[in-house]
Amino acid sequence: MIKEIFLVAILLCGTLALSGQVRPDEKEITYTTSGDSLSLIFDAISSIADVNIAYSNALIPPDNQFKVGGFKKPISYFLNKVLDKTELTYKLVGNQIVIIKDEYKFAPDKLTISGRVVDRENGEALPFAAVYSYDNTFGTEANEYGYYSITVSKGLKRLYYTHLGYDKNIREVKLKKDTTINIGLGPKALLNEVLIVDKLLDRKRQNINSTNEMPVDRIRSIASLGGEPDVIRLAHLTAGVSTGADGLGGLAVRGGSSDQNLILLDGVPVYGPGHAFGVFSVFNSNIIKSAKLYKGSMPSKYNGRLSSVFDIRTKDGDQYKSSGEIALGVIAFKGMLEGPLSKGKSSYIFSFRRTFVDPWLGNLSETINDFNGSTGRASYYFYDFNGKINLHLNDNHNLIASYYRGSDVYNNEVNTVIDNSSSSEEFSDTEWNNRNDVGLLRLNSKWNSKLFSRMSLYLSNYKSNLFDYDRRIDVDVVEDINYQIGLLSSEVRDLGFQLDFDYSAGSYHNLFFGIEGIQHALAPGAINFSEDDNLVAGRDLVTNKIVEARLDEVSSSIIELSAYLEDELTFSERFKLRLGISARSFLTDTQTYNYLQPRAALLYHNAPFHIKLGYGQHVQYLHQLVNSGLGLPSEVLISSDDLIRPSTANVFNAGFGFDFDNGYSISTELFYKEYSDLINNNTGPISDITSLNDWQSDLVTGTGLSYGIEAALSRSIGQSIWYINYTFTESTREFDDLNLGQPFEYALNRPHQFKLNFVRKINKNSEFALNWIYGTGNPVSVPDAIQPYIDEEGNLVTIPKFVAKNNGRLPDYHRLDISFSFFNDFSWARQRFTLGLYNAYDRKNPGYLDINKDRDRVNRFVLNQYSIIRILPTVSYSLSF
Amino acid sequence: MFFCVIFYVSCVDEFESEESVPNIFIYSELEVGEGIDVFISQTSPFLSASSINTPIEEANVLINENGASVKLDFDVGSNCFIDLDYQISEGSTYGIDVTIPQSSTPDANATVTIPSFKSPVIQVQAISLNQDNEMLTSDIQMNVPMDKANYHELEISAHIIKEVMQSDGTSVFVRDDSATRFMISSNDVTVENLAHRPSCLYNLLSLEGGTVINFNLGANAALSPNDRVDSIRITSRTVTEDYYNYHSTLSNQIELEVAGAGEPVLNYSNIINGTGLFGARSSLTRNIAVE
Repeated sequence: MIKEIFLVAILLCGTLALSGQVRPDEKEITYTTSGDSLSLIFDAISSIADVNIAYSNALIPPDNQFKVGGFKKPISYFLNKVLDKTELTYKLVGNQIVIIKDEYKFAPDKLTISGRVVDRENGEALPFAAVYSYDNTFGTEANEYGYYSITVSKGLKRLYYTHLGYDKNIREVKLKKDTTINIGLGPKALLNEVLIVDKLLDRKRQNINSTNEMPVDRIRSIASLGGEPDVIRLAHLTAGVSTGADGLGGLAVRGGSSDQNLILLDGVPVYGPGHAFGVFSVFNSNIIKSAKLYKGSMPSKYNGRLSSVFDIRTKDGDQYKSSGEIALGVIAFKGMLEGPLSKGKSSYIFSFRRTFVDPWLGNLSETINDFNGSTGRASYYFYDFNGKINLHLNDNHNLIASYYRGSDVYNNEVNTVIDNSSSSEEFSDTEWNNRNDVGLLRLNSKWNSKLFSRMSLYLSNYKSNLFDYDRRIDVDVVEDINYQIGLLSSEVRDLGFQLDFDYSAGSYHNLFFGIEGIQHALAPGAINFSEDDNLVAGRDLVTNKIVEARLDEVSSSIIELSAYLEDELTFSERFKLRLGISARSFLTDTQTYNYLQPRAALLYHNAPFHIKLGYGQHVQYLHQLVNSGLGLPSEVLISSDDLIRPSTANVFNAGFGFDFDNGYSISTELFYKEYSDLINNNTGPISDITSLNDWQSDLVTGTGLSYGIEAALSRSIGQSIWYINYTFTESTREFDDLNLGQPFEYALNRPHQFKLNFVRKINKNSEFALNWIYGTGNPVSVPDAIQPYIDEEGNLVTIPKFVAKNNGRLPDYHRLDISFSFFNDFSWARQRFTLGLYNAYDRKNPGYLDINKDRDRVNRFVLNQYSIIRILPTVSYSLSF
Repeated sequence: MFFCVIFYVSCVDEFESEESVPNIFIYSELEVGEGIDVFISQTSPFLSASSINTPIEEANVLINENGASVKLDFDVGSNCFIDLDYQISEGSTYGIDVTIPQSSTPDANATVTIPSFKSPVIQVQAISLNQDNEMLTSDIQMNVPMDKANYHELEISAHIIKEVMQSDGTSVFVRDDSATRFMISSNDVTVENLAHRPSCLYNLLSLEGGTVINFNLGANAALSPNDRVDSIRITSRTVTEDYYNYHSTLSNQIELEVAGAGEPVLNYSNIINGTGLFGARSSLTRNIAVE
């Protein structure tokens, strides 16, 4: 008992003794010197205070004399005084005071690291490259030109630079002043197409946006249509994205309409981004550098559409050596050439692609028509040309000039003589042409370590023309001529100016702000004729030009002005908040529409877990009037004007996910969108759209709603890379004048979608890729019955009876694509050979539905389902040098 | 070449839709002083081969007024159920009940109230026509009655006296039996020229009684120098809202069938458990001289 008491007493005394102990540098002394060296001062203080002050003579400036004096001051007072103007400080080690060097002493507390991240091999800027600290306490993303800026505390920093498809670069820096670090990253797996990451080196960084970055580095590894890697077809594999069959009809992102996607080519809007009615995109894969699909939580700089932004950036050209590529596939051949204009500084890149099936298609169509007892010929081709020059004006300014031209030309003539009780001749002619021109002049400027700007002038011009002519004449009765002609025409011309700034305001703030002015000029037109209009004399054929001459297109012009400001706040390594606002005005001839669009996004990232929330208001002036009845989809682009308000949307998203160290990731995201002032055609035939008629009165206004959930699971390391996602979407529209005012399902909606993408490296020279896609069939308006009516002459005629809009559903869509690729390298080139099958089990996926009168039975209809692409073998070869 | 075959030959299959249950089709337009005739048929599932232009002779068709029912008999000549002596009165409400014996087709019924004539009328005794090549045009005005009705039909046609050369070289003037239809437009009301009959529909929902409506007329008439327009025949009708909606949606759909591209039209019907129209109208016809 006594022993225990004694032990407790000793402990208590020791605690008391320790608590009363004074720190060495808090000991008070009285000392004065009018000029001594540091070593003498340290020795004197040490002697007076009986505190050991350890120092190295190598650190101390030997000849400098210091003055200090004080009465009953703590040692720290004297040390701070004499060390104030030196690079020295002190620290406590036990009871000792140790003099050490502090090389950051005079550095500001907050410093900026800025620079550019580029491809080490060719000098290409790496957009959105990640820059972050070893311990993940800070980080940022380079902008689309590879420039980054980050403000951090002084000291020793270890920075990681990463970009999809590139080796990581680690840089250590002793940060004592604002520092510029330009980094070149080396491409991964240079010799092999498939990017194999053996171990996950990087803790995956999370993006605050609800976005998918397209793996353009793997675009050729993904089984493609006709051997044509396509970035928009790559987006088809993404959760939340649906289309018509095989891309027909455009993209619907999270239940949005196909005209609600802003597609940007180097920041310039592209209208009509598809060839072959959307089956292929206009973007030549061999010049694409990056592609990001924003599905929600969009930054404030993106405006003009309600549902998504697809930001596609092209390469600038190899700054060090001339190189190129030629490729030949089933559908098209293409070439690309790039190289330096000034080594390491300025560069160029040109690419060209054209289909080559037109001669064969013509001969084949003639043969098939002949077999069917008809005459006629079809032809189709498309081409794309991209050119870009990147000029390094000086270390801080870069000028980019680029141009894109693309076009589709299709026509199909068929003439059939029908030899039955009334001999007749049927002739049909369908012609479709479109053209895209996109030009850009941009000056990128780095003003200082914190401020970066982009000033752009651009032109985007799109023109589309669809002509459809069906004629029936009686062989014997000269006057018996019936024909129907339709002409749809769209033209959009944007002339725009943008000025954007990125400013690294501090450790916690990154500011983005800018202004934009665009003049939109649209010329929509639609007109229908019949034999009653007597366009030509007698049995002469009507041509596209005759009808075009009669089309008095509407001319509308709308000025769009906007300004935005956004602050990305980083509260900690786990918590990031982005708040932004955009003010937008649309000026028509007599109306001004003004909108404020707030945006907010939140990211909480506590690896491996993250949560995202987002909200945004969106507005768009552009509307697409679609023939959403039966038949091939066709559309006309119109703009808001004095009578047609812009459409608006409120978009919410919330999601969470896990990124495991073994390369597996799982994520899920909920979305909810409300639309207002949506525009649609009223019931009945599409009205003529000319400057002479009141076509706007045939449009109706309504609302829409879409919501759903996306879930994705992926594995991004090892010999096999795969990505699976599932999406559930409900998307409806409601118009007082349609469907008796009842909500109906949106035409491109697929309630359930499942997508699998798999790439396997077989060995160092070959790989296997597979896609499997499933989607619920698109809704379609299907007649319920046939009913009679009494015509002008009192005869009974039959007509289909519709009871509701989009009341039926096409059969489900599913498709398997597989491909094998083989590649090897010569000393001067790399070649790749691909064999594949698109729609490998030949599923007759429905493209669209159409009603036709049964030729053999009176008053009988036939409902035909048209499939666009059956099984299609792929053979392609490319040579890169 | 093989790949072109695959790509070019887009596949066409017949789409199978659900078979719908046939409904009774009723069509009748009641008018004071014209007895009653009703066409009865039934709809057919869309892809079915059954003939729907054949009237259902065995149907039981009852007309009701104030609790009193009259059974209509089938007339082979007109293919309708008729009672030419049946008195239709303005303001009265009539019901129809149709059943098909020994059939699973649901019974159908409808009601209609006969409207009074309250349509705008032309006041002048003569109008002038302009001729530009083959186009005959004119402008007319009609006065809206103070106690206006909302739904109207207008039919305007011209009868032409044509010069016919005879074998002896002389010419005679013959009245053309066929009426040349005028297409009608207006800046004062929205006019819908019907695709299946030579008339147009318009409504006065947004106009007050006592106003004047200007109509523009245009007709395609290939006139020889000595031909002349004999007279203009104007038929104004006050119609029921059901009548208006049925013919409007039917015309819209016929135009869509011809044009091939557009929004599907949902056909209006006031028949319960069936489809078609049990409608009514009141008409006034005037022949107007041509100056």
